[in-house]
Amino acid sequence: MDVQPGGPAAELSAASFRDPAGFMFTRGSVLYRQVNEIYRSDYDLLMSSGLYNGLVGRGWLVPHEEVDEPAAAEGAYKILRPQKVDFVSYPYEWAFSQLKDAALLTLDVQLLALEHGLSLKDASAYNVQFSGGQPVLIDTLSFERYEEGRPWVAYRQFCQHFLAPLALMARTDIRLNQLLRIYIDGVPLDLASKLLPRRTRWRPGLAMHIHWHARSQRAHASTDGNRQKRTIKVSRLGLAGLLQGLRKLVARLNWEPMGTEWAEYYQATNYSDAAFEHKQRLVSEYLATVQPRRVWDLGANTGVFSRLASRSGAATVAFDIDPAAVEINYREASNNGEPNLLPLLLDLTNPSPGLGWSGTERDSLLGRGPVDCAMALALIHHLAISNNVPLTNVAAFLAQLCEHLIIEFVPKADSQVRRLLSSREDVFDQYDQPHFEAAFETYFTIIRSERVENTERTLYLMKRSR
Amino acid sequence: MKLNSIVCAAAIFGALAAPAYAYIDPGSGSMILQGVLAAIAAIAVTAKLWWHRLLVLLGIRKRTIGNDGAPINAREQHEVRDQ
Repeated sequence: MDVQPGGPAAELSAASFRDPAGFMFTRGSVLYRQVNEIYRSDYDLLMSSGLYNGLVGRGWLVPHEEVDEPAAAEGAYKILRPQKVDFVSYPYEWAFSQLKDAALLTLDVQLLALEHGLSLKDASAYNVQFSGGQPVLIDTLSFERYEEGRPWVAYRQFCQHFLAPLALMARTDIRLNQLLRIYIDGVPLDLASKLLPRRTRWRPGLAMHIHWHARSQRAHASTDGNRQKRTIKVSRLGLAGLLQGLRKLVARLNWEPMGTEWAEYYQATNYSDAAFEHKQRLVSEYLATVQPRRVWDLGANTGVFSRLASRSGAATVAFDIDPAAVEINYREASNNGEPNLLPLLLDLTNPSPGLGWSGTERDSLLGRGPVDCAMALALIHHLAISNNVPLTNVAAFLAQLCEHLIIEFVPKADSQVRRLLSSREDVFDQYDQPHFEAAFETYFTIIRSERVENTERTLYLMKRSR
Repeated sequence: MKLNSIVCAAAIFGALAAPAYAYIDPGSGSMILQGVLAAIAAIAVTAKLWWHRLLVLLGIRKRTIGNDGAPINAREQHEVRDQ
């Protein structure tokens, strides 16, 4: 297959360069995947064995079509156009159950692949995305012909990307999911082994796959080249047993958001039912005015207002800083089968940066925007008062994220702001409505503003002015 | 389990096979441990299978286990992931 001499230039994805089987690229804003000659037989087997249809039929693998598109580099066998995912998210932005569902998906895919004579050659958490409310494998080139006796080459990666962080979140502290942001190839097992409570050494699954695994890695860290060339033989029966065991282990790992102080805090709101209904009505009206295709709800809590956007058909991402709120939101979305809502974990005062090789392998939050509309409800006081961010800086940041903004101003007279100020000196002379409007009018034009009934709060609809 | 015995078990249960292409590093220690765990799993599954066959033979239990040692409905099981 020839590389195209003219036409729109192909832009290679910064996230797919490790696997010689192929890579992603965009040309004229369309996403393609190049399959290289080296991967021909495995790709043909994926398609002819019935595995591709089986996976796509279950919604486990992103569907693609083969297209007659010029290659982006030498050595091409086929060019595919995969179905695009609305929003690319990363494991360090997922709630516990999202990582768990992605882990179970990976194991289920591997078990189904074995039935068709193929095996996953990697088990990266970054190969899973959430699309239509469900986890889906996005790497079509992750499969290779299974040869009887071969061990699962992705076993180490599965334990580092999925099992170790899930065990740490469930057994040590939910916040340890942030280790995934530091360790791009998953949590090192020796570190996981150290951080897990001692009693987990007596739980057979965690003992074998994390504690023994870490010891085995340490013991064989300097195994010589000759030895590395040889591999252990693993029977099909043994491999299936190992995978079923891993699956049971992952399925039993649990983390309950109920009962944490955060989850309870979110139940307590300071406004009446009438105020709440009025706020919902206003947000719905503003959304109807904008008619956004993509919405980001910043500080979404458990997603009550995000659902006004997602149910109107907008692909909505509901960000919150609290793992309990995101967990509750994801479970609800998952139980209800809400295809347009993606709850994610995000600290707006320290948003996901560009990570990985040359800082571009995993995109920053800003790199994944801007969106048609952002919502910042009951958020401004957390940024301006709890985090001492001047209103102008908040406005400048939000202007980078969105075209339209639905934002709620919460004044000092509001009980939530009084609570924030109760334990500290009020150094926020300029935190008032006139300064808020002046700061935001530097970047936005105010289209509508209305007082939320029975509250001190005002809800604004703004449009970015440049 | 001492690591030496892990290596011994690997030597007993896992014959050494031809090198395999893998674009990620499977890790020597991870492969050796996997050999041991898979061998244990294979023994467990086989034992379970024979145990069930014995019970079926004695008329104590109905046939509910497939030839791969997994329950017959296992394929449907992993179509619905745990929430």
